[in-house]
Amino acid sequence: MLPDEIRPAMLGMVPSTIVTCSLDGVPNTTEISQVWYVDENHVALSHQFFNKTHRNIRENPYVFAIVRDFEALQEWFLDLQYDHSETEGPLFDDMDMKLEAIASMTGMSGIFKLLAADIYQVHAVRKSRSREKA
Amino acid sequence: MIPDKLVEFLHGPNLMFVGTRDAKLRPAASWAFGALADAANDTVTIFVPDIEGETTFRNLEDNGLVALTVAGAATHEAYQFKGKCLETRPSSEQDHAVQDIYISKLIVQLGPLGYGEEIWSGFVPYPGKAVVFKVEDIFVQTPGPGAGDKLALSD
Repeated sequence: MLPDEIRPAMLGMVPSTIVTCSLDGVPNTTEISQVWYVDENHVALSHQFFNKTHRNIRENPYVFAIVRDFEALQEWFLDLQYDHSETEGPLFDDMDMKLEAIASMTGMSGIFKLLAADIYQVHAVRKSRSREKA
Repeated sequence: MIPDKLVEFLHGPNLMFVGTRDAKLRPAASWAFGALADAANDTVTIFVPDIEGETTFRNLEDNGLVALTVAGAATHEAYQFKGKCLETRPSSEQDHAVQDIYISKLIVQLGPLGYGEEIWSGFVPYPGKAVVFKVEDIFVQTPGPGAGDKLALSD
């Protein structure tokens, strides 16, 4: 489902936007450093804090994400559903290392500790039309 | 009242994303380009382009719930404004002027970081809609120990 051309948007060059919703219907929007490409049907989000996003996802597994490739001037919209979490293994280690690198570059070393790699099934993906002139 | 510091932040050249959800609790998001805060009435007007705005407008008509994240791309300072939509109307020429100023400020601020005119001038900020919402809660989203803290609306 995920095309190869989306992969530059999942390298963490610019933050991604995600929206979740609690079971009582309140949306929550936040910026995250990266959406990780796992395979053509799955992506991963980092679980770093027991925050509102984390609580919402455990209540209601649906997530909307915007990922960005500013080199290609392209955004992508993703409809996701939480599948499972991984707390060890190659994907977890890769995410942990990159998060620490990002933290170091932004003076926030130690703040971005990875608790789990949350794996999501991709239900839909499409290119944004936000830059298309009418 | 929305604190003065956050009024300034809303008016500054910061990135804005409006989150909504549908009747099945499926979330969605779109860009907002520009905002006007009315501190005395605790309202914020954001400008959402018609392009890619359909889901946002449909969700607002369904339930009116708004979650607006405003983030400083250069500083990582970020806040989320949650509330209820009061009005959605087509944006006016005056609104478009506010949006043009907003985008000019974004280009000046982010251009030196490598995210300049070629990025921001490519977006189509209008035609669109002005979404007026009543702010009920404000949360810190700046990464760090205070992330998630609720800020008080001042008297």
